[in-house]
Amino acid sequence: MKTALFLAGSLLLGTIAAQDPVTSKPDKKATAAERMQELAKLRRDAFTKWREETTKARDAAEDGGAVKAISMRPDYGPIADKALQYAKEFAGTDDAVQFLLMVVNMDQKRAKGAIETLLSDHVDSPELAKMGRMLPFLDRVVDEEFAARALDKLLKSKSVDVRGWAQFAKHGATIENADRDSDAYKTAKAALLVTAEQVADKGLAQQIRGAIEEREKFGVGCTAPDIEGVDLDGVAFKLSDYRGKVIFLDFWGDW
Amino acid sequence: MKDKPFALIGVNSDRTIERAKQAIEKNNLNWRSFQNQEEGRKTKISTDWAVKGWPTVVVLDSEFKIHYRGHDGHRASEIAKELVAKMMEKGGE
Repeated sequence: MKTALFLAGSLLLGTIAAQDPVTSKPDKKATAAERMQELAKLRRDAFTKWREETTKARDAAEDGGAVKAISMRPDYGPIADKALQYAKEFAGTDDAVQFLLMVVNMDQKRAKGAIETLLSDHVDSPELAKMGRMLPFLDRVVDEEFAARALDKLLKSKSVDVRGWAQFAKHGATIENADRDSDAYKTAKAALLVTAEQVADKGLAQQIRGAIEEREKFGVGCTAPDIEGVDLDGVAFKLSDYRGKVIFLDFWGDW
Repeated sequence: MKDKPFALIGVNSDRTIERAKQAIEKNNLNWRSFQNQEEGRKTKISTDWAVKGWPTVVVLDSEFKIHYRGHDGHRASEIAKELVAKMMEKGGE
C-alpha cells in the first residue's frame, strides 16, 4: 500500500516537471508563434474569467443581493504589457507588428504607444494591412487628431494594401453618407475605384466596390428592386404586393 | 398602425423555419416575412440587396423610393411615421 502511494506521488511530480517548459528546455528561447499562442491563451482565460464574474453578478442582482462592480470588459492590461515586451523582443520584425496590433486591440490605454511604434518602425510593412479593419474606428481608440495623423502616414506607406485600407478608411464615410451629387462624393468614389484596381488584397477590393454598389443601388433616393419569394408558411408573395404603402423592410433573424 | 398605409415586412435569415416561428411566437411578432433563401432560390434576398449586417432596416415610400437604409431601428421608425403622416395628410385633402 505504501509503495503504491509513493508511486502515485512520483508520477504526479513527474507530470508537473514535464509540463514546465522552463525546467524541460532551460536555454531555448520561445519562438514568436509560441509567444503568440501564449498570449492568445491568456486572453481567452481572462475573457472566460470575466464572463463568469459577470454572470455571477447578474444572478446575484436577480436574486436581490448586493452587486459587486464589474468592469464592462475584461482587464487585458497585464496581457498587453506582455505583448509589448514581446514586441520589443522581436523589434523591427513583422512578428512585432502582430504583437503591437494585439495591444491596439486589447488595451485602450496602451494603444496610442503601440500605434506610434507601428507608424515609426513598420509603416511600410505589408503586415500592417492587418490593421486595416480597425482604421475606420481608430478615433474611438485614440483622439481624433492623432487618428487623422496616423491615417496620413498610412496613406504614404510603401505597401499598396496598407495604402488601400487607409484610402478606404478616409473615404468610406463619404460614400456612405454624402449626397451622391456632391463633389465630395464624386471625389471619394473616383479615389476608391482607383484603389480597388491597385490593391493586391482581393477581399479589400471587393469590400470597396461593394460599399459603392450598396450606396448607388440601395442608398437613400434609389428605387428599390422588387422581391419575389415565399413567406414562412411557404405562400408565394411579392414586395410589390404592398406598393402604395410605406414599407418597413426588416432583415432579421433570431440566432 | 392598423388601417394606415403602412406595411411591416421581414426577410428572415434563420437556418430553419421552425426557429423563425419560435421567435415569432416568443416575441409576439405579427409581421409577414420572406424566407431569405427558400429551397430552390439561387441567391439569398440579403445578397441581392447587398445586406452585410443584421439587423438591417430599409424604409420605402409608396413608390418604392428608399428613404432610409441602416441599422438604427428607431430612426427608421421615425422616418416611416413621417412618411405615413404625409400620405394621410394628402389623402385627407
